[in-house]
Amino acid sequence: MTRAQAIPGEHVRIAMDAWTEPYWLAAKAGRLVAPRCAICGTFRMPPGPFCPECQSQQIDWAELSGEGVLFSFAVCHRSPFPGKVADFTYVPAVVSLPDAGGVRLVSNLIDVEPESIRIDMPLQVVFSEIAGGWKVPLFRPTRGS
Amino acid sequence: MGTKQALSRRVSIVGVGMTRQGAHGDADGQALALQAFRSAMEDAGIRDKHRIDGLLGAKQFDGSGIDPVLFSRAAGITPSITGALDYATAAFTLHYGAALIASGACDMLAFVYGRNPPGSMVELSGAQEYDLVHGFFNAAAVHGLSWVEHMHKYGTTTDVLGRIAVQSRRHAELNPDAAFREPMTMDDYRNSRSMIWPLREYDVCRMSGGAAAIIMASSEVARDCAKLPIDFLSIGREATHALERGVQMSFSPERRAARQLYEAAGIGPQDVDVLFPYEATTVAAVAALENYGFCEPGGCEAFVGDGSRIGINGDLPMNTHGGHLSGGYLIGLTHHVELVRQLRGECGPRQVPDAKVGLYASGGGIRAQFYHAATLFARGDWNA
Ligand SMILES: [Zn+2]
Repeated sequence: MTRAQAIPGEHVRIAMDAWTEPYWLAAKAGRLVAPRCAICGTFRMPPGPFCPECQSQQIDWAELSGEGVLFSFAVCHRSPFPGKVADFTYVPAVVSLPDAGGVRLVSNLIDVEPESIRIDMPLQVVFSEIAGGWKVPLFRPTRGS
Repeated sequence: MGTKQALSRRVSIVGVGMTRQGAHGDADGQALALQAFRSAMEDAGIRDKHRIDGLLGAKQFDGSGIDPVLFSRAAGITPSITGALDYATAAFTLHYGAALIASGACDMLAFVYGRNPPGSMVELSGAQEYDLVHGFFNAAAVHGLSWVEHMHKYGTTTDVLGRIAVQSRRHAELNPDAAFREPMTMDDYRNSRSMIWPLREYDVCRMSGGAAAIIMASSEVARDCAKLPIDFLSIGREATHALERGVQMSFSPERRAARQLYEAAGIGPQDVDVLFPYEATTVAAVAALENYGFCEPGGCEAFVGDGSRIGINGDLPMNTHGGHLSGGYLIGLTHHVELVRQLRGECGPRQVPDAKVGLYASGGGIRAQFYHAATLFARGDWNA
Protein backbone atom coordinates (compact mmCIF):
# COMPACT_ATOMS: atom_id res chain seq x y z
CA MET A 1 0.00 0.00 0.00
CA THR A 2 1.42 3.35 -1.01
CA ARG A 3 -0.32 6.39 0.31
CA ALA A 4 -0.83 9.27 -2.07
CA GLN A 5 1.73 12.00 -1.47
CA ALA A 6 2.04 15.65 -2.33
CA ILE A 7 4.35 16.66 -5.18
CA PRO A 8 7.68 17.55 -3.47
CA GLY A 9 7.14 21.24 -2.71
CA GLU A 10 10.64 22.41 -3.56
CA HIS A 11 9.97 21.44 -7.21
CA VAL A 12 6.64 23.24 -7.49
CA ARG A 13 6.86 26.82 -8.66
CA ILE A 14 3.85 28.97 -9.39
CA ALA A 15 3.51 31.79 -11.89
CA MET A 16 1.36 34.67 -10.75
CA ASP A 17 -0.30 37.75 -12.16
CA ALA A 18 -2.63 40.44 -10.81
CA TRP A 19 -5.66 38.16 -11.32
CA THR A 20 -4.26 35.11 -9.54
CA GLU A 21 -2.26 36.82 -6.79
CA PRO A 22 -5.18 37.12 -4.29
CA TYR A 23 -5.79 33.37 -4.66
CA TRP A 24 -2.18 32.53 -3.84
CA LEU A 25 -1.92 35.09 -1.03
CA ALA A 26 -5.00 33.55 0.61
CA ALA A 27 -3.59 30.03 0.20
CA LYS A 28 -0.36 31.17 1.83
CA ALA A 29 -2.45 32.28 4.81
CA GLY A 30 -4.28 28.93 4.89
CA ARG A 31 -7.54 30.17 3.31
CA LEU A 32 -9.29 28.83 0.21
CA VAL A 33 -10.92 31.59 -1.82
CA ALA A 34 -12.56 31.76 -5.25
CA PRO A 35 -13.25 34.69 -7.55
CA ARG A 36 -16.94 35.58 -7.84
CA CYS A 37 -18.13 38.18 -10.33
CA ALA A 38 -19.13 41.32 -8.39
CA ILE A 39 -21.81 42.11 -10.98
CA CYS A 40 -23.59 38.84 -11.75
CA GLY A 41 -22.34 36.50 -9.01
CA THR A 42 -20.85 33.82 -11.29
CA PHE A 43 -17.88 31.96 -9.84
CA ARG A 44 -14.92 31.23 -12.07
CA MET A 45 -11.89 29.01 -11.78
CA PRO A 46 -9.03 29.30 -12.48
CA PRO A 47 -8.90 32.99 -11.55
CA GLY A 48 -8.84 35.18 -14.67
CA PRO A 49 -9.49 38.72 -15.84
CA PHE A 50 -13.06 38.39 -17.20
CA CYS A 51 -16.36 36.98 -15.99
CA PRO A 52 -17.34 34.29 -18.54
CA GLU A 53 -21.01 35.34 -18.23
CA CYS A 54 -20.96 39.16 -18.26
CA GLN A 55 -17.30 40.04 -19.04
CA SER A 56 -17.07 42.25 -15.98
CA GLN A 57 -13.65 42.57 -14.37
CA GLN A 58 -14.93 43.31 -10.88
CA ILE A 59 -14.29 40.50 -8.45
CA ASP A 60 -15.37 39.60 -4.93
CA TRP A 61 -13.05 37.05 -3.40
CA ALA A 62 -15.38 34.62 -1.64
CA GLU A 63 -14.10 32.83 1.45
CA LEU A 64 -14.82 29.10 1.05
CA SER A 65 -15.28 26.42 3.67
CA GLY A 66 -12.61 24.26 2.06
CA GLU A 67 -15.05 21.41 1.57
CA GLY A 68 -14.97 19.67 -1.80
CA VAL A 69 -16.47 16.70 -3.62
CA LEU A 70 -14.32 14.47 -5.81
CA PHE A 71 -15.28 14.76 -9.49
CA SER A 72 -12.63 12.42 -10.89
CA PHE A 73 -9.01 11.37 -10.40
CA ALA A 74 -6.10 9.32 -11.71
CA VAL A 75 -3.29 7.60 -9.82
CA CYS A 76 0.23 8.32 -11.07
CA HIS A 77 3.23 6.21 -10.19
CA ARG A 78 5.88 7.98 -12.21
CA SER A 79 7.78 11.00 -11.03
CA PRO A 80 6.81 14.21 -12.81
CA PHE A 81 10.46 15.22 -12.40
CA PRO A 82 12.38 12.28 -13.90
CA GLY A 83 16.06 12.32 -12.97
CA LYS A 84 15.44 14.72 -10.09
CA VAL A 85 12.87 12.96 -7.92
CA ALA A 86 12.45 9.17 -7.61
CA ASP A 87 9.06 7.69 -8.58
CA PHE A 88 6.30 8.08 -5.98
CA THR A 89 2.52 7.83 -5.93
CA TYR A 90 0.38 10.90 -6.32
CA VAL A 91 -3.19 11.56 -7.33
CA PRO A 92 -4.17 14.37 -9.70
CA ALA A 93 -7.81 15.17 -9.07
CA VAL A 94 -10.61 17.44 -10.16
CA VAL A 95 -12.57 18.67 -7.14
CA SER A 96 -16.01 20.32 -7.22
CA LEU A 97 -16.48 23.17 -4.75
CA PRO A 98 -20.15 23.16 -3.57
CA ASP A 99 -19.91 26.59 -1.94
CA ALA A 100 -18.47 28.16 -5.11
CA GLY A 101 -21.36 27.27 -7.39
CA GLY A 102 -19.84 23.87 -8.20
CA VAL A 103 -16.80 25.21 -10.09
CA ARG A 104 -13.99 22.73 -10.15
CA LEU A 105 -10.43 22.95 -9.01
CA VAL A 106 -7.53 20.93 -10.36
CA SER A 107 -5.62 19.64 -7.34
CA ASN A 108 -4.11 16.54 -5.74
CA LEU A 109 -5.46 14.13 -3.12
CA ILE A 110 -3.08 13.26 -0.29
CA ASP A 111 -3.10 11.15 2.92
CA VAL A 112 -5.21 8.45 1.31
CA GLU A 113 -4.71 4.88 0.05
CA PRO A 114 -5.37 5.05 -3.71
CA GLU A 115 -7.53 1.89 -3.47
CA SER A 116 -10.00 3.65 -1.17
CA ILE A 117 -10.60 6.69 -3.36
CA ARG A 118 -14.16 6.97 -4.73
CA ILE A 119 -15.79 9.52 -7.01
CA ASP A 120 -18.17 11.80 -5.06
CA MET A 121 -16.29 11.28 -1.78
CA PRO A 122 -16.26 14.35 0.50
CA LEU A 123 -12.93 16.14 0.78
CA GLN A 124 -11.34 18.82 2.90
CA VAL A 125 -8.66 21.26 1.79
CA VAL A 126 -5.16 21.24 3.26
CA PHE A 127 -2.36 23.62 2.40
CA SER A 128 1.04 22.29 1.41
CA GLU A 129 4.22 24.33 1.22
CA ILE A 130 5.90 24.84 -2.17
CA ALA A 131 8.90 26.81 -3.48
CA GLY A 132 9.31 30.45 -2.45
CA GLY A 133 7.34 30.07 0.78
CA TRP A 134 4.02 29.77 -1.06
CA LYS A 135 1.34 27.13 -0.39
CA VAL A 136 -0.86 25.13 -2.72
CA PRO A 137 -4.37 23.87 -1.81
CA LEU A 138 -4.54 20.04 -1.82
CA PHE A 139 -7.35 17.81 -0.57
CA ARG A 140 -7.78 14.80 1.69
CA PRO A 141 -10.83 12.72 2.58
CA THR A 142 -13.03 14.36 5.21
CA ARG A 143 -12.39 12.69 8.55
CA GLY A 144 -15.11 10.31 9.74
CA SER A 145 -16.68 10.03 6.31
CA MET B 1 -12.62 33.75 -59.48
CA GLY B 2 -15.56 35.88 -58.49
CA THR B 3 -18.19 33.40 -59.50
CA LYS B 4 -20.48 31.97 -56.88
CA GLN B 5 -19.14 28.51 -57.58
CA ALA B 6 -15.58 29.59 -56.80
CA LEU B 7 -16.56 30.17 -53.19
CA SER B 8 -18.11 26.78 -52.65
CA ARG B 9 -15.76 24.39 -54.35
CA ARG B 10 -15.58 20.77 -53.37
CA VAL B 11 -12.31 19.55 -51.88
CA SER B 12 -10.49 16.25 -52.32
CA ILE B 13 -7.35 14.54 -51.13
CA VAL B 14 -5.38 13.70 -54.27
CA GLY B 15 -2.09 12.40 -52.93
CA VAL B 16 -0.68 10.87 -49.76
CA GLY B 17 2.82 9.85 -48.79
CA MET B 18 4.61 8.76 -45.66
CA THR B 19 7.86 7.35 -44.46
CA ARG B 20 8.13 4.26 -42.30
CA GLN B 21 7.27 5.24 -38.71
CA GLY B 22 9.69 4.28 -35.96
CA ALA B 23 13.42 4.58 -35.32
CA HIS B 24 15.23 6.90 -37.73
CA GLY B 25 18.64 7.30 -36.14
CA ASP B 26 19.60 10.95 -36.14
CA ALA B 27 17.65 11.95 -39.26
CA ASP B 28 15.89 15.26 -38.77
CA GLY B 29 12.17 15.81 -39.08
CA GLN B 30 12.43 18.11 -42.08
CA ALA B 31 14.46 15.57 -44.09
CA LEU B 32 11.81 12.95 -43.37
CA ALA B 33 9.04 15.39 -44.30
CA LEU B 34 10.73 16.13 -47.65
CA GLN B 35 10.73 12.39 -48.41
CA ALA B 36 7.04 12.13 -47.54
CA PHE B 37 6.24 15.20 -49.64
CA ARG B 38 8.00 13.72 -52.68
CA SER B 39 6.11 10.45 -52.38
CA ALA B 40 2.77 12.25 -51.96
CA MET B 41 3.46 14.27 -55.13
CA GLU B 42 4.32 11.06 -57.01
CA ASP B 43 1.19 9.42 -55.62
CA ALA B 44 -0.90 12.31 -56.95
CA GLY B 45 0.92 12.19 -60.28
CA ILE B 46 1.86 15.88 -60.06
CA ARG B 47 5.06 16.48 -62.03
CA ASP B 48 5.18 20.25 -61.64
CA LYS B 49 5.76 20.99 -57.96
CA HIS B 50 5.05 24.67 -58.56
CA ARG B 51 1.36 23.84 -58.78
CA ILE B 52 1.41 23.70 -54.95
CA ASP B 53 0.03 27.12 -54.00
CA GLY B 54 -0.50 26.47 -50.27
CA LEU B 55 1.81 24.81 -47.76
CA LEU B 56 0.77 24.05 -44.19
CA GLY B 57 3.18 22.75 -41.55
CA ALA B 58 2.74 21.93 -37.88
CA LYS B 59 4.69 22.31 -34.68
CA GLN B 60 4.58 20.70 -31.27
CA PHE B 61 4.56 22.63 -28.00
CA ASP B 62 8.28 22.00 -27.68
CA GLY B 63 8.85 23.85 -30.95
CA SER B 64 9.74 20.71 -32.94
CA GLY B 65 8.00 20.08 -36.24
CA ILE B 66 7.76 21.73 -39.61
CA ASP B 67 8.03 25.45 -40.24
CA PRO B 68 6.11 25.99 -43.50
CA VAL B 69 8.38 28.77 -44.79
CA LEU B 70 11.62 26.88 -44.14
CA PHE B 71 10.07 23.76 -45.61
CA SER B 72 8.98 25.57 -48.78
CA ARG B 73 12.50 26.89 -49.22
CA ALA B 74 13.97 23.39 -48.77
CA ALA B 75 11.44 21.89 -51.19
CA GLY B 76 12.11 24.63 -53.77
CA ILE B 77 8.52 25.78 -53.97
CA THR B 78 6.99 29.22 -53.57
CA PRO B 79 3.40 28.73 -52.39
CA SER B 80 1.36 31.92 -52.13
CA ILE B 81 -0.02 30.86 -48.74
CA THR B 82 1.96 29.26 -45.91
CA GLY B 83 0.84 28.64 -42.37
CA ALA B 84 0.79 26.52 -39.22
CA LEU B 85 -1.91 26.54 -36.56
CA ASP B 86 -1.40 26.93 -32.81
CA TYR B 87 -2.79 23.48 -32.16
CA ALA B 88 -2.02 21.83 -35.44
CA THR B 89 -3.16 18.20 -35.20
CA ALA B 90 -4.46 16.71 -38.44
CA ALA B 91 -8.15 17.62 -38.27
CA PHE B 92 -7.54 21.29 -37.46
CA THR B 93 -4.95 21.72 -40.18
CA LEU B 94 -6.88 19.83 -42.85
CA HIS B 95 -10.06 21.76 -42.04
CA TYR B 96 -8.08 24.98 -42.50
CA GLY B 97 -6.62 23.68 -45.76
CA ALA B 98 -10.05 22.61 -47.00
CA ALA B 99 -11.40 26.09 -46.24
CA LEU B 100 -8.56 27.70 -48.23
CA ILE B 101 -9.41 25.52 -51.22
CA ALA B 102 -13.20 25.81 -50.89
CA SER B 103 -12.84 29.60 -50.79
CA GLY B 104 -10.79 29.66 -53.97
CA ALA B 105 -7.71 31.05 -52.23
CA CYS B 106 -5.74 27.92 -53.16
CA ASP B 107 -6.10 25.25 -55.85
CA MET B 108 -3.65 22.67 -54.57
CA LEU B 109 -2.29 22.57 -51.07
CA ALA B 110 0.10 20.33 -49.14
CA PHE B 111 0.09 19.57 -45.41
CA VAL B 112 3.45 18.18 -44.34
CA TYR B 113 4.72 17.06 -40.98
CA GLY B 114 7.71 15.12 -39.75
CA ARG B 115 9.58 14.64 -36.55
CA ASN B 116 12.23 12.48 -34.98
CA PRO B 117 11.99 13.43 -31.32
CA PRO B 118 14.46 12.59 -28.55
CA GLY B 119 13.22 9.51 -26.70
CA SER B 120 11.77 8.07 -29.91
CA MET B 121 10.49 4.48 -29.46
CA VAL B 122 10.94 4.68 -25.66
CA GLU B 123 9.29 7.70 -24.04
CA LEU B 124 5.57 8.14 -23.64
CA SER B 125 4.08 10.80 -25.85
CA GLY B 126 2.08 13.75 -24.53
CA ALA B 127 4.57 14.77 -21.89
CA GLN B 128 4.13 18.50 -22.31
CA GLU B 129 3.18 20.45 -19.24
CA TYR B 130 -0.53 20.28 -18.56
CA ASP B 131 -0.56 21.48 -14.99
CA LEU B 132 2.74 20.61 -13.43
CA VAL B 133 1.86 22.23 -10.13
CA HIS B 134 -0.51 19.29 -9.69
CA GLY B 135 1.62 16.67 -11.39
CA PHE B 136 -0.24 16.35 -14.66
CA PHE B 137 3.04 15.39 -16.31
CA ASN B 138 1.30 13.81 -19.26
CA ALA B 139 -1.87 14.44 -21.26
CA ALA B 140 -2.69 10.79 -20.49
CA ALA B 141 -3.52 11.79 -16.91
CA VAL B 142 -6.52 13.66 -18.30
CA HIS B 143 -7.63 10.56 -20.21
CA GLY B 144 -7.14 8.55 -17.02
CA LEU B 145 -9.46 10.94 -15.19
CA SER B 146 -12.03 10.55 -17.96
CA TRP B 147 -11.92 6.78 -17.78
CA VAL B 148 -12.24 6.71 -13.98
CA GLU B 149 -15.42 8.72 -14.33
CA HIS B 150 -16.68 6.43 -17.10
CA MET B 151 -16.08 3.31 -14.99
CA HIS B 152 -17.85 4.96 -12.05
CA LYS B 153 -20.85 5.98 -14.12
CA TYR B 154 -21.30 2.88 -16.31
CA GLY B 155 -19.51 0.04 -14.53
CA THR B 156 -17.07 -0.39 -17.43
CA THR B 157 -13.59 -1.87 -16.91
CA THR B 158 -10.14 -1.45 -18.41
CA ASP B 159 -10.61 -4.66 -20.43
CA VAL B 160 -12.14 -2.72 -23.30
CA LEU B 161 -9.05 -0.50 -23.39
CA GLY B 162 -6.89 -3.62 -23.62
CA ARG B 163 -8.97 -4.89 -26.54
CA ILE B 164 -8.28 -1.63 -28.37
CA ALA B 165 -4.53 -1.86 -27.68
CA VAL B 166 -4.33 -5.51 -28.79
CA GLN B 167 -6.41 -4.96 -31.93
CA SER B 168 -4.27 -1.95 -32.90
CA ARG B 169 -1.19 -4.14 -32.58
CA ARG B 170 -2.74 -6.84 -34.78
CA HIS B 171 -3.28 -4.23 -37.46
CA ALA B 172 0.27 -2.92 -37.09
CA GLU B 173 1.56 -6.46 -37.63
CA LEU B 174 0.01 -6.23 -41.12
CA ASN B 175 1.58 -2.82 -41.78
CA PRO B 176 5.28 -2.76 -42.69
CA ASP B 177 5.39 1.01 -42.04
CA ALA B 178 4.14 0.74 -38.44
CA ALA B 179 6.46 1.58 -35.55
CA PHE B 180 5.50 -1.15 -33.04
CA ARG B 181 4.84 -4.59 -34.52
CA GLU B 182 5.81 -7.25 -31.96
CA PRO B 183 2.73 -9.40 -31.22
CA MET B 184 0.79 -8.47 -28.05
CA THR B 185 -1.87 -10.41 -26.11
CA MET B 186 -4.44 -9.42 -23.50
CA ASP B 187 -2.14 -10.99 -20.90
CA ASP B 188 0.71 -8.75 -22.08
CA TYR B 189 -1.68 -5.83 -21.71
CA ARG B 190 -2.85 -6.81 -18.23
CA ASN B 191 0.74 -7.38 -17.09
CA SER B 192 2.07 -4.12 -18.49
CA ARG B 193 3.10 -1.43 -16.02
CA SER B 194 0.47 0.77 -14.42
CA MET B 195 1.55 4.23 -15.54
CA ILE B 196 -1.31 6.49 -14.62
CA TRP B 197 -3.97 4.31 -13.04
CA PRO B 198 -6.32 3.18 -14.49
CA LEU B 199 -4.13 3.31 -17.62
CA ARG B 200 -1.30 0.87 -18.28
CA GLU B 201 1.81 1.20 -20.36
CA TYR B 202 0.05 -0.08 -23.52
CA ASP B 203 -2.80 2.39 -23.16
CA VAL B 204 -0.55 5.34 -23.90
CA CYS B 205 1.21 5.90 -27.22
CA ARG B 206 4.95 6.33 -27.43
CA MET B 207 7.10 8.81 -29.26
CA SER B 208 8.33 7.70 -32.65
CA GLY B 209 9.98 9.25 -35.70
CA GLY B 210 8.50 9.63 -39.15
CA ALA B 211 6.77 11.93 -41.59
CA ALA B 212 3.68 12.16 -43.76
CA ALA B 213 2.30 14.50 -46.40
CA ILE B 214 -1.20 15.03 -47.72
CA ILE B 215 -1.98 16.86 -50.98
CA MET B 216 -5.43 18.41 -51.28
CA ALA B 217 -7.03 20.09 -54.29
CA SER B 218 -10.28 21.45 -55.54
CA SER B 219 -12.34 18.65 -57.02
CA GLU B 220 -11.94 20.09 -60.57
CA VAL B 221 -8.16 20.04 -60.23
CA ALA B 222 -8.42 16.58 -58.68
CA ARG B 223 -9.69 15.17 -61.96
CA ASP B 224 -6.20 15.69 -63.52
CA CYS B 225 -4.49 13.70 -60.78
CA ALA B 226 -3.31 10.11 -61.06
CA LYS B 227 -5.40 8.38 -58.43
CA LEU B 228 -9.03 8.21 -57.37
CA PRO B 229 -9.68 11.44 -55.42
CA ILE B 230 -11.08 11.08 -51.91
CA ASP B 231 -13.61 13.81 -51.16
CA PHE B 232 -14.32 15.75 -47.99
CA LEU B 233 -18.02 15.13 -47.26
CA SER B 234 -18.44 17.09 -44.05
CA ILE B 235 -16.78 18.49 -40.94
CA GLY B 236 -17.88 18.38 -37.31
CA ARG B 237 -16.46 20.51 -34.51
CA GLU B 238 -17.14 21.07 -30.81
CA ALA B 239 -15.14 22.70 -28.04
CA THR B 240 -15.45 23.50 -24.38
CA HIS B 241 -13.23 26.00 -22.69
CA ALA B 242 -13.15 24.80 -19.20
CA LEU B 243 -12.79 21.56 -17.40
CA GLU B 244 -13.49 23.63 -14.31
CA ARG B 245 -16.97 24.58 -15.48
CA GLY B 246 -17.67 22.09 -18.20
CA VAL B 247 -18.55 18.46 -18.54
CA GLN B 248 -16.40 15.41 -19.00
CA MET B 249 -13.12 15.80 -20.86
CA SER B 250 -13.15 12.98 -23.43
CA PHE B 251 -16.80 11.95 -23.65
CA SER B 252 -19.22 14.43 -25.14
CA PRO B 253 -22.77 14.12 -23.87
CA GLU B 254 -23.90 16.78 -26.35
CA ARG B 255 -22.41 15.16 -29.45
CA ARG B 256 -22.60 18.45 -31.31
CA ALA B 257 -19.65 17.53 -33.54
CA ALA B 258 -21.29 14.25 -34.54
CA ARG B 259 -24.63 15.90 -35.30
CA GLN B 260 -23.02 18.56 -37.46
CA LEU B 261 -20.95 15.95 -39.28
CA TYR B 262 -23.74 13.50 -40.06
CA GLU B 263 -26.44 16.07 -40.82
CA ALA B 264 -24.23 17.92 -43.31
CA ALA B 265 -23.38 14.69 -45.12
CA GLY B 266 -26.93 13.31 -44.91
CA ILE B 267 -25.70 9.99 -43.53
CA GLY B 268 -25.31 8.32 -40.14
CA PRO B 269 -22.84 6.12 -38.26
CA GLN B 270 -24.30 3.02 -39.95
CA ASP B 271 -22.89 4.33 -43.27
CA VAL B 272 -19.29 4.54 -42.03
CA ASP B 273 -17.14 1.70 -43.43
CA VAL B 274 -13.93 2.42 -41.57
CA LEU B 275 -13.19 4.54 -38.49
CA PHE B 276 -9.97 6.37 -37.62
CA PRO B 277 -9.93 7.80 -34.10
CA TYR B 278 -7.00 9.97 -33.08
CA GLU B 279 -5.79 8.14 -29.98
CA ALA B 280 -3.11 9.51 -27.70
CA THR B 281 -4.51 6.80 -25.41
CA THR B 282 -6.97 3.94 -25.78
CA VAL B 283 -9.54 6.09 -23.95
CA ALA B 284 -9.77 8.44 -26.92
CA ALA B 285 -10.59 5.50 -29.21
CA VAL B 286 -13.47 4.19 -27.10
CA ALA B 287 -14.68 7.77 -26.61
CA ALA B 288 -14.97 8.13 -30.40
CA LEU B 289 -17.24 5.06 -30.51
CA GLU B 290 -19.64 6.75 -28.10
CA ASN B 291 -19.24 10.36 -29.23
CA TYR B 292 -19.92 9.51 -32.88
CA GLY B 293 -22.92 7.30 -32.23
CA PHE B 294 -21.55 3.81 -32.95
CA CYS B 295 -22.90 2.82 -29.55
CA GLU B 296 -24.82 4.42 -26.68
CA PRO B 297 -23.08 6.34 -23.90
CA GLY B 298 -21.56 3.69 -21.63
CA GLY B 299 -21.89 1.04 -24.34
CA CYS B 300 -18.32 0.93 -25.67
CA GLU B 301 -17.30 -2.19 -23.76
CA ALA B 302 -20.24 -4.26 -24.99
CA PHE B 303 -19.72 -2.89 -28.51
CA VAL B 304 -16.03 -3.76 -28.73
CA GLY B 305 -16.53 -7.24 -27.21
CA ASP B 306 -13.52 -9.44 -27.92
CA GLY B 307 -12.18 -6.89 -30.42
CA SER B 308 -13.06 -8.69 -33.65
CA ARG B 309 -15.79 -6.15 -34.37
CA ILE B 310 -13.16 -3.43 -34.86
CA GLY B 311 -10.85 -5.75 -36.83
CA ILE B 312 -10.30 -5.70 -40.60
CA ASN B 313 -13.27 -8.01 -41.24
CA GLY B 314 -15.47 -6.69 -38.43
CA ASP B 315 -18.57 -4.47 -38.59
CA LEU B 316 -16.49 -1.37 -37.90
CA PRO B 317 -12.80 -1.74 -38.77
CA MET B 318 -10.85 0.80 -36.75
CA ASN B 319 -7.33 2.23 -37.19
CA THR B 320 -6.38 -0.45 -39.68
CA HIS B 321 -2.76 0.81 -39.81
CA GLY B 322 -2.26 0.36 -36.06
CA GLY B 323 -3.27 3.89 -35.03
CA HIS B 324 -1.00 6.00 -32.89
CA LEU B 325 -0.78 3.23 -30.33
CA SER B 326 1.07 0.76 -32.54
CA GLY B 327 1.52 2.56 -35.85
CA GLY B 328 3.46 5.53 -34.45
CA TYR B 329 2.47 8.95 -33.20
CA LEU B 330 2.23 11.58 -35.93
CA ILE B 331 -0.59 13.91 -34.80
CA GLY B 332 -3.20 12.08 -36.90
CA LEU B 333 -1.51 12.27 -40.32
CA THR B 334 -0.87 8.55 -40.75
CA HIS B 335 -4.58 7.99 -39.99
CA HIS B 336 -5.41 10.11 -43.04
CA VAL B 337 -2.86 8.38 -45.26
CA GLU B 338 -4.39 5.02 -44.33
CA LEU B 339 -7.97 6.30 -44.70
CA VAL B 340 -7.25 7.45 -48.25
CA ARG B 341 -5.52 4.17 -49.13
CA GLN B 342 -8.42 2.16 -47.68
CA LEU B 343 -11.00 4.07 -49.72
CA ARG B 344 -8.86 3.60 -52.84
CA GLY B 345 -8.50 -0.13 -52.11
CA GLU B 346 -4.69 -0.10 -51.82
CA CYS B 347 -4.21 -1.78 -48.43
CA GLY B 348 -3.42 -5.35 -49.47
CA PRO B 349 -3.64 -7.82 -46.55
CA ARG B 350 -5.34 -5.25 -44.32
CA GLN B 351 -7.81 -3.96 -46.92
CA VAL B 352 -11.37 -3.50 -45.65
CA PRO B 353 -13.63 -5.00 -48.35
CA ASP B 354 -15.35 -2.29 -50.43
CA ALA B 355 -14.65 0.62 -48.05
CA LYS B 356 -16.27 3.76 -49.45
CA VAL B 357 -16.86 6.07 -46.48
CA GLY B 358 -14.27 6.81 -43.79
CA LEU B 359 -14.53 8.84 -40.59
CA TYR B 360 -11.60 10.51 -38.86
CA ALA B 361 -12.46 11.58 -35.30
CA SER B 362 -10.19 13.40 -32.90
CA GLY B 363 -10.94 14.50 -29.38
CA GLY B 364 -8.84 15.64 -26.49
CA GLY B 365 -7.17 18.89 -25.75
CA ILE B 366 -5.00 20.92 -23.53
CA ARG B 367 -5.65 22.72 -20.30
CA ALA B 368 -7.27 25.71 -21.93
CA GLN B 369 -9.66 23.81 -24.18
CA PHE B 370 -11.11 20.38 -24.81
CA TYR B 371 -12.34 19.70 -28.31
CA HIS B 372 -13.79 17.27 -30.80
CA ALA B 373 -12.92 17.62 -34.48
CA ALA B 374 -13.94 15.15 -37.15
CA THR B 375 -14.17 14.71 -40.91
CA LEU B 376 -16.18 12.38 -43.12
CA PHE B 377 -14.43 11.33 -46.34
CA ALA B 378 -15.76 9.30 -49.27
CA ARG B 379 -14.77 8.05 -52.67
CA GLY B 380 -16.68 9.62 -55.54
CA ASP B 381 -18.93 6.59 -56.12
CA TRP B 382 -19.89 6.17 -52.44
CA ASN B 383 -23.59 6.87 -52.97
CA ALA B 384 -23.88 5.47 -56.49
ZN1 LIG C 1 -20.45 38.37 -14.30
